[in-house]
Amino acid sequence: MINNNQHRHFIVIFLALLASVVFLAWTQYRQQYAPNQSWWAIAFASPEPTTADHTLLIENHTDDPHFSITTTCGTTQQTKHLIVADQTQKRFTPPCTQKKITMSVEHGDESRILYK
Amino acid sequence: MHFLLTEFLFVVAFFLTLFLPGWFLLCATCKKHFTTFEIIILAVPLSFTMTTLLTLILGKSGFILSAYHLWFITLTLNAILGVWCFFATKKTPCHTQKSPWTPSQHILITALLLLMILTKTLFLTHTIFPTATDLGHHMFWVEKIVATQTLPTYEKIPVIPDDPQNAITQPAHFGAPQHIADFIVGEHIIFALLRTLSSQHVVSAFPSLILYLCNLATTVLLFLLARRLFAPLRIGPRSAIFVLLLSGPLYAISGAGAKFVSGGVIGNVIGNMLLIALLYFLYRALVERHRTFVLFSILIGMALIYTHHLSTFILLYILVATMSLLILFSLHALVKHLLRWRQLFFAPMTMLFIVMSGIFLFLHPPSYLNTQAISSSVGAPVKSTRTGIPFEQLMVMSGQARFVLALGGGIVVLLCGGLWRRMRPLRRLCTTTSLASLTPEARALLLGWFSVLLAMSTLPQLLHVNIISTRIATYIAFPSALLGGLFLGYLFALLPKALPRTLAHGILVLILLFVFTNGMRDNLTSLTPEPKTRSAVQTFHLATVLSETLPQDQWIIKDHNYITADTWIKVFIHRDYSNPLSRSFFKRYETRPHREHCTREMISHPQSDMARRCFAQLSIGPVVVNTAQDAQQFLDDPTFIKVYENNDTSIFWHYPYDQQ
Repeated sequence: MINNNQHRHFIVIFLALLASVVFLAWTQYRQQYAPNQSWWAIAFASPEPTTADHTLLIENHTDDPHFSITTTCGTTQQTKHLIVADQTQKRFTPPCTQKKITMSVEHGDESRILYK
Repeated sequence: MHFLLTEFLFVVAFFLTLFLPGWFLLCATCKKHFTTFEIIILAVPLSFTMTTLLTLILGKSGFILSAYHLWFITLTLNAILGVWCFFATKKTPCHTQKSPWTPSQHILITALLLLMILTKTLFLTHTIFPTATDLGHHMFWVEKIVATQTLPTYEKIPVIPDDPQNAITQPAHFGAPQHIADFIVGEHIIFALLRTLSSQHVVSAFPSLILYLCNLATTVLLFLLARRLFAPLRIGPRSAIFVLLLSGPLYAISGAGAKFVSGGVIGNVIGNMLLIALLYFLYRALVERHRTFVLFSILIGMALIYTHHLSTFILLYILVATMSLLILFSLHALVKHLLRWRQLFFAPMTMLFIVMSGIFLFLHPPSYLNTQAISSSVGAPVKSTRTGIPFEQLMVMSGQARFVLALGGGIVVLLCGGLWRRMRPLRRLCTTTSLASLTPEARALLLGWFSVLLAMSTLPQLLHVNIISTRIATYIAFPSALLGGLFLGYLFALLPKALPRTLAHGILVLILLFVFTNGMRDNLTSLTPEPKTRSAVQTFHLATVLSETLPQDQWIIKDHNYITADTWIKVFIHRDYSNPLSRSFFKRYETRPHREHCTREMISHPQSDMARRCFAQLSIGPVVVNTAQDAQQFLDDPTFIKVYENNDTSIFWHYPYDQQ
């Protein structure tokens, strides 16, 4: 038998449990997908050393969208400015046919270099 | 919106796999034997048992575990059980049992449950993000089930030193695929099922949420078991509430609490739930002579065997200890008891279940059931971690106040078990609190459960147990809570009768204060600082980039010491379980000198001769390291190019001279 009093208690516990589960799931979701997480990353789209595809991926998770890319291909050096909004990714393909390349990316006070 | 939809799907999938099947089964078979609250809680382990065993049987029979099939299985199972429940209740209308609690006790229980949910939620807020090493390993296999749509073969390609006697200076090579005994299929089926039905990615909160719900169910199951064990006692309801206090809001995090949830110790969390559910049904089967409960115990036992080896192993010891004590306590009526048990266990249906389970176990034994694993777990312990822990450490691990109360509880249960009839001073102590009315089965279970775990944790050599003692010690929290709760109930009944009212109340308030401060301090010291979620998110990004660009047969090496959530990389790249290879904790290379040392050398000294040979023999390309800790040694080396960098980690790619 189940009386109204018990019924109320079950509902309170069930709602608290549901709220707890949704809150925890939301906390994790927010931690993973929140904007402006203060990190950014660069990568070669084709990281294998043997390829001549030097396309660079820039992923931004900061509130500063300005990136400056300096490419050194043989003796040629070129600088390009790129706008990458928060939580987005952009590709940049430098005009370089050589196998060896160095790409330096500046963002705010930080600088990172990738090279093949 | 996407978040709400996935959460909705998750709740639906949870109900279909971990709630409704058990609810329908209890409703169809023996609704009148339970309160509504019991049905709600018992539905979880029974549902887990049914969905896991059914998927296991189908998977082992060659059934493709595609999304379509899993939906079909789940809906069919629920439909069949639902129809059975409908006709069973229509044929013989029955109601659930009346709740034994008074309205004020109802409020107290609700308040304790809410406090427990709040405490565990607060702790998990910092740890819900999937970074735990163990969970990463487990989720690899869950993804494997989902991707291959079959049950996995737990194998990995090992790295073997060329010369094990000189492993420190010799390179290594890949060996033939090796069986992994650490993983058991029952740990992964329910996650694969929920992953498929709810379309949630494993790199989310859902695995921890499942463990969290199982952990909550475990605590409440213990409370329900206490209520049944203490049912004949006048102090029973109050003692059961004390059990809830000692296992719910107090000591909610440490030991087998929410820490196991955040740590992703899947086997332990689910194993604890199944173990208590099994003991609950077995106890009621013995006391109420209910054959259906024996069948439930067998089913849950099967699920336990296929889910967690340590819990199964400990269950065997608990059962042997309990049955031995029960025989001892029932010597005067042993024949009567044996006849009762014969009727219970040798019924045709029970025998059929036992034979079928035996056949299935014989045909598809769980991965750990082999001579090597058994002989390494049973026997004289050799390693220092297996020779038992000091009594003081056990007390701290299980909560000092709770443990002290449990010792008190153990003593009074023992004394009031029969001795009181012969010893006049004990008579009053036992009869005024009605403790002498405890059934022999309850006494045997309480004392057997507690004493066998006490012995296994502190003096394992006595019982020929060769398992890490601290792992066994976590199990003692459950019988401690039962005996501790009973002792609190006993004191609350005895002291006001034995002492002047004010003095008795003063002592009881002091005891409660001690218990509360100790339990809450335990919770507070177990809280973790802010999580490293930003680092983990970057590791996931790195893993995603690797998974999109990595050639099929390429092997990777990564560091385990300085990279957050590094074990999750393999969940993204879907290669062999050993890929990426891992530079383990440094101490592991010291304590096991005959293991391969390539993984350390390739990251710590990539320019050394040995590292060069390791790179060549193991065909390693990408090297994933923490930039601040380990990038320097790769930057000046012309055989490495740098292909990825985020705030914390970098990927270098080994590129030998002959390929340049």
